[in-house]
Amino acid sequence: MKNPQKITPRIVLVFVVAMLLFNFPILGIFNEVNFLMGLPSILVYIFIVWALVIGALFVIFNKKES
Amino acid sequence: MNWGIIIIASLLYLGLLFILAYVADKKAQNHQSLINSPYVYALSLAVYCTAWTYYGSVGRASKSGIDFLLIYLGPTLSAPLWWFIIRKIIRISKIQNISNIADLIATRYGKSAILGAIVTIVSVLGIVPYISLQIKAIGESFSIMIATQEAPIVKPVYIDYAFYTTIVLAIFTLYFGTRQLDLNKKNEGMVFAIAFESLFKLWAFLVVGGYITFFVFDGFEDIFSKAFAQKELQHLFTINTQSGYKALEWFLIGLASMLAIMFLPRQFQMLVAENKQEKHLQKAIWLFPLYLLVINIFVMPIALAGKLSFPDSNIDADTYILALPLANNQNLIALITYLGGFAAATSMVIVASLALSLMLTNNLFIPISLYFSVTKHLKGRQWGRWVLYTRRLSVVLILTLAYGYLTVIADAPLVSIGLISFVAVSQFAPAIIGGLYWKDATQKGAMAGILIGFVMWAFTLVLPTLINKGIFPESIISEGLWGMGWLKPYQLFGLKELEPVAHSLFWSLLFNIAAYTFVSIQSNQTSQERSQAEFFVDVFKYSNIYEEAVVWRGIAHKKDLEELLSGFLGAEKVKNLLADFEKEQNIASQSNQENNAKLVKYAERILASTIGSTSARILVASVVQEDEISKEELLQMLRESQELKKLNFELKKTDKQKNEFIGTVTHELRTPITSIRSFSEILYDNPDLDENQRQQFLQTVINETQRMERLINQVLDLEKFDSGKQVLNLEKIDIQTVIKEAIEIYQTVIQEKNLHLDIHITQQNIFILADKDRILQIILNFLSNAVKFSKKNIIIDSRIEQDNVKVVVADDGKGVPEELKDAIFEKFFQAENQTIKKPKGSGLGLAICKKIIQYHKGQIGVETSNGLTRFYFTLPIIH
Repeated sequence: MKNPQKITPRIVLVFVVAMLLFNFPILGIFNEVNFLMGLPSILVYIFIVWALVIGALFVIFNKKES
Repeated sequence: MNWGIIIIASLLYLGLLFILAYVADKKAQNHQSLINSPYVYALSLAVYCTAWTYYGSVGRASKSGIDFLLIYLGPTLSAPLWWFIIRKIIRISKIQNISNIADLIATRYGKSAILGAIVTIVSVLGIVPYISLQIKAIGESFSIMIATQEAPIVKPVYIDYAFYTTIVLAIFTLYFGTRQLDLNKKNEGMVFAIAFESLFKLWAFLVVGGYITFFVFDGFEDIFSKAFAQKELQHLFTINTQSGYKALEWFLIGLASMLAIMFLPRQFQMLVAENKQEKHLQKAIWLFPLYLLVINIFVMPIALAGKLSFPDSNIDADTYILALPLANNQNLIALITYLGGFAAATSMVIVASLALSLMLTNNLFIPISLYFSVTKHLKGRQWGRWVLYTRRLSVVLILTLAYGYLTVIADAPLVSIGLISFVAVSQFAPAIIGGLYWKDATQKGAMAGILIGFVMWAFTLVLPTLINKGIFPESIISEGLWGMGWLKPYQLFGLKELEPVAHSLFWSLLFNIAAYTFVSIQSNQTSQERSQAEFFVDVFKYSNIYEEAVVWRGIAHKKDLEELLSGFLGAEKVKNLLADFEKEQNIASQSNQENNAKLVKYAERILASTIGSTSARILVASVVQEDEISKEELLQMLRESQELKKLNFELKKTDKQKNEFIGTVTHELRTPITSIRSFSEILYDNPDLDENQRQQFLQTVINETQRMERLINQVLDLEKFDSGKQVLNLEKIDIQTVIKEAIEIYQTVIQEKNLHLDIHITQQNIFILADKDRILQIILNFLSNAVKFSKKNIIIDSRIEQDNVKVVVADDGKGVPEELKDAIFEKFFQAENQTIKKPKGSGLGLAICKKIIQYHKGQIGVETSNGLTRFYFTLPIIH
């Protein structure tokens, strides 16, 4: 088990940032009829943020504790 | 397609499930757990993805675009919170033998049977329609597969097919879910099969998604650009924000799925009840969102492909994923897709019906049978069997209800019924999350919150579906209940702007939270409630003292408890369990009261693992006499047991150290004594030994005696330091003179061994307040070690660092391994490390040095730099 004291602030940070990025008004910025790489921009935006959140969680739990 | 092929494929698939579950169960009996892996754990959580994901997402995406993703973004947002909420619940549940949501809430609020029953009823009402939706999906997908131009869909066929499938699923659940009485034991077979289903449905979805995107169409870009060319599809490319409240709606539905992923009965079953190790959660927190991401990649393309391929037909958008491969005559891909959907639906039916049946048994049927004193008519081990049969009957009951509901429900799209369930289970969130962090939350508060939330949910979401069926008049929706305009189900209190699900969640959660907090503040807790509140909120503090914590007072007789337990486990087993318990408790050392309390708790825990904590509480309370404990007393008791635990631990540690020390000292003394004795015997037996040899032997005897003397002096020395009796002869001394004195003593030895000594003394006249002989002793000790290990060079160095003088003795020997740098200053360090070649010396030298320096308020240690091993100490200087 990882040390909770080190994990907790990082997790909270990821949660708050994800919450902001996945909700309006920030979501509204990308909610335009635009194409990115040939795909609707809002769809690209959501999947990229989604992947980044997963990546951040992965890093938090796989970082070597010094 | 030929229906025979589909039935054979489905049967083969179900057969495979049975085999996998059977193998996993067999392995578990041989103590090889297949589910003891974070990957299996994360996959088993994907029971979240039901037929709704398979068919409903595509349907919703083709109607309202990106909205469908919220159902999967919610769980992703929720995953980081698991680190707080679920980790805490898992810990609590493992200790208190909690196996479902109703158990959890009831246990937190004083093991209240009524609260448990309320939660159970809300869950059953909220989830059964969801189960019947899965059964419907199984039947419908089958009928689409067998439909031909000449014979389109016939209703009775799919109803029949769904019926037989439900029976097979019931058998599976009964066999792999309700065989063992002990709820602590994991359902290994079932979990393994569900994890397989998750893998399979993901694979199937990727196969069909890949086929449609890359073979029917020419990749993602092709689909999106073709769809964009059609004006009527363009609205699917953005989130529809025409309603000014879209941001709030988006947030609310996201919130519902965040809560659902934790508190849906089937999710709780997998997340908490079937969790093998707490640490598996760490992987699941990122692996499960990843699963959701992957399974959603092709949803939008499939939806658009369906729209493009069947522009004017009346094919239901929910079935595009099957219709597309069928229309292209790709029967194999259609079959794989069908089986994927079948996997998604079956996994949900199995886990949800099991979770609900355990809830019904523990929180409704057993308390009811206790109330009607069924106990009195059951003898011997019949109680245990009674519990098992109740569980099995509950599974059958749930599935019968779900199947019955199937014949009632209209053609509601998959997604809406799912969301209705989400809002239902969201009502548990305030009571659970509040219960984990707020000690003053009371049973009455939880009950008020859940009840009012439930009523609001029923009024705003369930009532309209009944109105649709014609059970209630249409006028309620348009004019309000009893003609009162502010009681319209979709526009409660005049709130018109939100769509029905968000509208319902908003009002129900708002009233729920308000009632929960307000009533909690206004009402009081019983002592039972208080002790549970303390334990839940501070579980990470109390989890290791739970068994020792004695928060109980009253009169209990062992015989009564024994009899009670025997009803469930059999007399033989209970005798053994109690005997083990007493052995462990060391009964003699405790008061009678303490024994009573521990025994009662132990019995309650055993019972809770079969019938849940509320029923266990009722049963135990029926055979013992209990006293109330005040809040202050309770806290006192908890604190005491915690302190006691700490004290006990420290005592044990010191005790162990003492024993080791004595063991080593005697061992060290025996070596010289053995040699003294053998040499003396030789001298005694051989009076005519020649003079030379005689001298040599006597010299050895003298050496060994000296060694013993040294050792004994050192032990006494150490003992003086340890007990604080050592007195230091403090005087103002120049550290350089001490160093010089030490060097003089070792000069000859260094020359004899051909070593090179370097002396770095940067500053003269550094004064310290110290015991001169003791400091000399340390430097000599360092020097003797250096001489012993050095290859060529020895360096002595003294310098001022801040307000301290640092004296270093360095050598170029083999050095001290990093992990032993603290250990070498422990008593008899070398004796404990048999792998290290034992150097000469008692093994007490450095330990004494450490004590001396500690007495001087300095520091001692060893460091490595540039291949040199540097033993050092620091002492405060005086100006």
